[in-house]
Amino acid sequence: MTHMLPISFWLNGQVIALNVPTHTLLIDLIRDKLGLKGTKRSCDMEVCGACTVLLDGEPISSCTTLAVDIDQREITTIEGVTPPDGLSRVQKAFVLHGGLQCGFCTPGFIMAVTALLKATPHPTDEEIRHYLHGNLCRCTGYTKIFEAVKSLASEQASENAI
Amino acid sequence: MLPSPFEFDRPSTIEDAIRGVGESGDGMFYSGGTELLLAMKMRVIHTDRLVDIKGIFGLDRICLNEANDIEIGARCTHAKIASDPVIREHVPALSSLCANVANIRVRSVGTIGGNLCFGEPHADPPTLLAALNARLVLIGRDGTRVVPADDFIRSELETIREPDELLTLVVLPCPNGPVTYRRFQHGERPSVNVAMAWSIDAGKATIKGARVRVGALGSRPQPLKLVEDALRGLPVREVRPAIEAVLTTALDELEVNEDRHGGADYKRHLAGVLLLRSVEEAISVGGGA
Amino acid sequence: MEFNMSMVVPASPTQLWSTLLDVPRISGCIPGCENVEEIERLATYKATVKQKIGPFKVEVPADIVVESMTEPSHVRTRATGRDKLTGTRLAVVLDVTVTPEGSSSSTFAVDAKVDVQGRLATMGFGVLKRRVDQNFEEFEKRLKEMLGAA
Repeated sequence: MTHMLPISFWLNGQVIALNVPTHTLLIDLIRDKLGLKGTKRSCDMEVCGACTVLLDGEPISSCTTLAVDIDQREITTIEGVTPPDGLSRVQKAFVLHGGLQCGFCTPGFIMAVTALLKATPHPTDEEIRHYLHGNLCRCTGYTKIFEAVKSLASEQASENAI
Repeated sequence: MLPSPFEFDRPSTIEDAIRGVGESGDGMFYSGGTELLLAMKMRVIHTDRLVDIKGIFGLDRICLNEANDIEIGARCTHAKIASDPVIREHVPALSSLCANVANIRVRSVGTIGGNLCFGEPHADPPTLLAALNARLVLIGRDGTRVVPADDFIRSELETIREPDELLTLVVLPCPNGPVTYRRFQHGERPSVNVAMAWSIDAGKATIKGARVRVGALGSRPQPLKLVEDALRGLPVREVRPAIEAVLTTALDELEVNEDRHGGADYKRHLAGVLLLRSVEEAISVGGGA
Repeated sequence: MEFNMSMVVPASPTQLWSTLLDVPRISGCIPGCENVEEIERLATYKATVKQKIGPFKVEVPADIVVESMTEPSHVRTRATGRDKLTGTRLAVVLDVTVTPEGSSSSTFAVDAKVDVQGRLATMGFGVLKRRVDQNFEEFEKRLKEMLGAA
C-alpha cells in the first residue's frame, strides 16, 4: 500500500509543492517528476557522486535520499547553478582546463566544487582532494579536474560569481 | 531499485518516536539513512514504518559538561563532529576520524548514532569510542539505560539495542592524554583499524592507564589486554620495548575473520604495525621525557 | 559451503534407521528450521527456514524432497526455497550415513552442502557463512543430544 506525503521545498530558487509516495527517491523526483536530467544516476549506492545535489548548500547523494526528506528545505541541482546565458565560473574553469571528457560525472563534480568554494573560497590542495575524494571520474584521470579547481581556488572571485 | 512502500512518521518527541517504532511490526528509527536506505533500496531490509528522528529537538548537541565529560548527541552528523570546536580541542582524533568517514555526501547526513546502531564490523567510530571508554545512552519504553561502548555491539550487525530503543547520546570522559586512531585508507584492503587512548600523569612522564582497541578484524572492536597491562604505570620512555615484548602474544589473542583480503596472520601483523605507529604518534604528541 | 560432522551413537544401524527417516525430527534440530510438515511420507515435506542477522531477515519456505534411501545406511534429502522479500535462494543437500561401530554402536555422519544465492548472500557472504557455521555447530549439538551420542 503506497503512502503519500505532501512536501514543499525550494528547487533552484523556486517553490514547489507536491504529494509524493514516501518511498520516492530524490533522484527520481528530480529527473522523472520534475524533468531535470542534469543529475545522473551511476553507482546508485552513494559512492560515485554523479547524483550530487545540494541540500541547504551541502552536497548529498540524491540516489539515496528520500524525497520526503527535502520538505521545507532548499535543493540546488546543476540546472540551478548554470546561468541562463552561459556557464558559471566553476563550469568555465572545467572547460578551460579540460576537466571533462564524457561529461557524465561532471554535474556531480560541479555541484561538489560549487559547495566547496562557497564554504572555503581558497582551499588548499589537500582540502580540494579531501572534499572531492568521493567524486569519481573514469575518463580524465583527475589531473585536469584538480587543475580546474586549483585555478578557482587562487582566483579573487567577485561576490556575484558562483 | 526502489524501496518497498512504508509509512513515514515525523514525531517531535522521543516518546512519540519510541511509540511509533514499538507499535509497528518492523518499524525503524531513521535519520540520514546512509546505511538503512541503501539496504532498503537493495530490498534486503524491509520496514513497514520509518520514524524520522530529525524533528526531535536536542539530539544533535555537542558540549563539555560540568563533570568534564564530552556529550555528543547521537544525531550529530559526521560533518558536524569533524568541525566542532569542542571535539577539535579535546579529542582531535575523533574529529579527524569523522572527517574521513565515507565521503563528503555521506558525512553531510550520516550520523554517529546511526553508525553505531548498524554495528558494521569495519566501521570507524565504534573502535575509537570503545578506546575512549564512551557510554551510550538508550531510551526505551521502560526508561533509560547507559551502556559502555565496549558492550554495545554484540556481533557483526547486531547491537544490544532493542528495536524500539533510541540511542540519544554518546558521553565520553574528556581525555587527559594522547588519543590516536589509525586505519588503512578507503579502498585499501584488508580493513583494519587501531584506536588507543592514554591517561597521562600531570608531569607527562608516566602512563597511568591505556585503552587499546582493534577493529575490523573480528565481529566487533577487541581490546589488546596484554598491551594495556604492559603500559599501565610505565614511564613513557619505556613504552616501545614494553609493547614489543608482548605484542605478538597480544595479537595472537585477537579473533580474526579471514577473507579474500587477508589471512589471519597478515591481518594481525597489520594491526601490530598500526599500533606501533600509533605509539610513535602518542609519544611525540603527548608523552614527555 | 560444506559441512561435515560425525558422532558415535549407542545404537545399531537398524535401530537408527527409523531416526534417519524421521525428517521432521532431524529438521527440528536445525536452528531456524520451523513448521516442518509432511506432504508425502518419506518423500516430500515442507518447512520454513528463518534467520535474522541484525536488521536482515530471511524467511524461506522450503520444499524438502527425500532423494534417495539405502536401508539401513544412507538417506539423501534436498531442501530448496526462495525468500520472496529479499529474493534469497537456498539449496541444501543433506547426506546422512550410518555405519556400524562394533556390535551395538554406530557412527552417525552428516554431510551438508549449503548454497545461498541472492543480493544478501553477495553483500554479506562472510557474515552469512559465519552464521551458517554457528548454525551447524548448534545442529551438531542438538543431534548429539537427541541421539544420546558420546
